[in-house]
Amino acid sequence: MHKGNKEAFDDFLKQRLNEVEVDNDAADKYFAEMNLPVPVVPVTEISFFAQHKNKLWLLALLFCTSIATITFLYKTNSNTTDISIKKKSTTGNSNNEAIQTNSNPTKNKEVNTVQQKTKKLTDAVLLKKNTPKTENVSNENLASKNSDNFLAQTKKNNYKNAGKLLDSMDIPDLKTGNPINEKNISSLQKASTTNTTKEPIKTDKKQADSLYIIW
Amino acid sequence: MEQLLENFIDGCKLGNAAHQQQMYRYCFQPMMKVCLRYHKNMDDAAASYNTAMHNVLTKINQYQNKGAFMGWVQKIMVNTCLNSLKANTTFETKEITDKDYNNFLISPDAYSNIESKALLKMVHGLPTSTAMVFNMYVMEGFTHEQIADTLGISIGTSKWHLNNARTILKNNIQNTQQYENRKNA
Repeated sequence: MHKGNKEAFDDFLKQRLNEVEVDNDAADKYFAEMNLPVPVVPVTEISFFAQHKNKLWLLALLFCTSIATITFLYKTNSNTTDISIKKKSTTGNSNNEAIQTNSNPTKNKEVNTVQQKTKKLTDAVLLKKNTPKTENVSNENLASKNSDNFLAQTKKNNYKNAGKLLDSMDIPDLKTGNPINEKNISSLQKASTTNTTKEPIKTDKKQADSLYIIW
Repeated sequence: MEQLLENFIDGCKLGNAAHQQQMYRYCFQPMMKVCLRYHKNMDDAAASYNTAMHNVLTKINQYQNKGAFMGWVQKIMVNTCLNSLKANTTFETKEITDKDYNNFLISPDAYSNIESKALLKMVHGLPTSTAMVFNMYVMEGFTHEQIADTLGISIGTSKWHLNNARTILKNNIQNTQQYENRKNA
């Protein structure tokens, strides 16, 4: 050190002062004394996956179940379409080999049952078609006839009952004064028909009312 | 080492407590040296270090990765130490004269025998205002203009304090050298 000036002296001091060693073990002691504020991470910085990390398995489960259901539905739909296609092929072509070549026995059974059902249905439809329409008409006529007979019979019975009732009441005839019997009804009817054309029967209001009541 | 420091910086920017503690430990040795030059005891130095590190860790997002990180931290350390000392220090307005310029030539044995810890004790023995100017000029590389602006003193006063520090330190070094020579004889 022969510089002999201020700069040399300063360099010497600087060099020596930088050589001072500090015990690093004291760092932890002084760090505990420092009250660092708790850092607040903004909510916007937290990613979506970090927020819903715990719910990811639920999403995965939902995804798997949805895929499983979709595949199941697709498979079931494809089976039904197969049968319909095969049915078409059997009906359209005379060859029944399409069904016979099918390797799956369960599918064959299904096809057979479907065929039987369709046969039954077609038979039933054919039977309906073959039955003549005249029979249907006659049946209708019969029904109408029966209904007419029934009405006539009831009318007759009503007349009979009315006659009996008149007999039991002993109502005198308006013209003759004789009691009206069942036998006299026909004659009375005849007379009424003949009289209506020539001379209208003159009747009191009271009499008409009584007659109306009887009828 | 630089990669490690970068990891600490990134962790501190995200507010990671573990990284903050590691950063504190990483900076402790080099920065406590700085604090110890300004403060006369370990506790005061540690108080300034903690204040400075608090500023570093809370304002680490302001660091733009331009320039040396440790340089940025050292700047904060020096400013913190000066702020803590300025409050209790009064600077006498003194102007340097031609008489004050001394010859700082000392014997080569003195340079070799003097220990760093002993020299640090000598610096601690300086008046606070003189020690501040000495540290700023010699150790941190401030100019007299910068010192005058920072401490609110004139350039002449800054020069006087620096010359005063050199004179005291030279005398102390020579005295210890003479004491050692007598001891050995």
